[in-house]
Amino acid sequence: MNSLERRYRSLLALYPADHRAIYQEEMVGVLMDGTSPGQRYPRLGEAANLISAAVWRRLGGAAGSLTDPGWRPAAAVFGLLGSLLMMARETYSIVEHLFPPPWIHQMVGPGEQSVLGPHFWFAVSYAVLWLVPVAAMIVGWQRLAAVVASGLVAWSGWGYVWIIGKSAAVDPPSSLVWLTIEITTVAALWVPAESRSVRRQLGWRRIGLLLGAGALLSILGYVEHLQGNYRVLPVAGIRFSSWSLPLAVIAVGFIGYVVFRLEDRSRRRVLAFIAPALVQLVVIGYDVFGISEGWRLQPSIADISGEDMGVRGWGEISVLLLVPLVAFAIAIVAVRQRERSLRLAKLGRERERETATAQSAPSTRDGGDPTLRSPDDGQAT
Amino acid sequence: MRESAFLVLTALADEPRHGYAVIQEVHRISDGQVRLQAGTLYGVLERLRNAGLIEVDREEVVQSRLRRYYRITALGATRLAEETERLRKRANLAAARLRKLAPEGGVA
Repeated sequence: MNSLERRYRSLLALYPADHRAIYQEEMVGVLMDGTSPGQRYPRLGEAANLISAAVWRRLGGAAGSLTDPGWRPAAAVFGLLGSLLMMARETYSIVEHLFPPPWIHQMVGPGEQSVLGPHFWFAVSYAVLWLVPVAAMIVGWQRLAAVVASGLVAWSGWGYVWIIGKSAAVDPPSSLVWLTIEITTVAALWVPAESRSVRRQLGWRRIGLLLGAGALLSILGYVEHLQGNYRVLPVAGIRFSSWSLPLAVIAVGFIGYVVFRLEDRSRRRVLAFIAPALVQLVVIGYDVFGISEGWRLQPSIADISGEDMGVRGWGEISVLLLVPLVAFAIAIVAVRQRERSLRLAKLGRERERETATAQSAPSTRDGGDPTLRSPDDGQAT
Repeated sequence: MRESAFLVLTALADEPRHGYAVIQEVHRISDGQVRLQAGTLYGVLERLRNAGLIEVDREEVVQSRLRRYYRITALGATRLAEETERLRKRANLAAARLRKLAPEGGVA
């Protein structure tokens, strides 16, 4: 190995290990083939190209992998799922207003729950408007779904900032999770998919299951109202009655079944879309950073007025907003790593097969059983 | 499809080629306008391979160095044909408009 080759190798060392394992020796050959007589150093443009390509491969790989076509079908499915969850949430809110669950008086005090006040009509309008993206995704009008959902997110985002500023009696931590679902849904809806991608991937039966899950989640409030008693989960402070929890589990089961029946590449990516809200839910529910202090209407963010937000208040919100972003970035990298491992394993198996075929060929010529040969034998170029 | 990917697929369309031969062929078919650097070439080859548009044809060791030959797949040929048709339609459209624009005996 001469000094020039050593210098090329030191530049190639900037690439990630998995890239080097596959391409390094080949790239050294190509680089050395292109050298001029007497050349001792890599050319400036060549070095710059290798450095930028290696850095892009390391840093831009995750972002670049978002543009691979595998994200499109997954984004379409998540676009439908997210829209459906948002519609179910608003419908739950309507039901909750009409049929208050047993704990509502304990939380807001008797008489404070205005049945047909502005919150109720907001919920009605949101539920109706979220129905548009749901229907549009099923029909195949993705652009319409994206536009309507974007408008709804912009409106609710503004409302959220307004609520924080007014220190209104709402539960900003859980609202943040819904805001995350809204934002990831809109992001997914803007990823261009093939026409009627949802119907092609899911079929009517699994679309029906998703709609059924949405319907079950929507009526939980009524079930809780009918039962009149409830318990509180030891984690996240979620309240449930003896019938609402099983119904919620069934609804989640329907969604899980639909997601896990997806083609592998789509399933991994749908889970990546779910990750930000799920991780945020866990962080808030378990109070991982010691900042959310419980689930609903507890002290901390909800009780801090706009004037008194201070460093802690904004720090809390920053962490809660950063959590989903970091979760999504990690999920993208995990998807990429998983698929790279699968690809390498496949390449390894192919190589083993080729080696086995090459070893069995002479024995076949020497009188081995020709019926044992694979149909691909002899077709290699 | 980016120009570099289009040119690499075109370079592999008639026969399998190794990395340095792809660089030379791209330089030739682009009338000397495009000279791919190794970093760019292997970024393109990796993407095309991941997308199933090219695959490894064979490997050789020449002067103690690995030489890997790539060939276009059926899917790659289909994509290249679609892209060629798309570019042809655009070129035809541009030529037709230029003919209208140009005075008699002028451009195009």
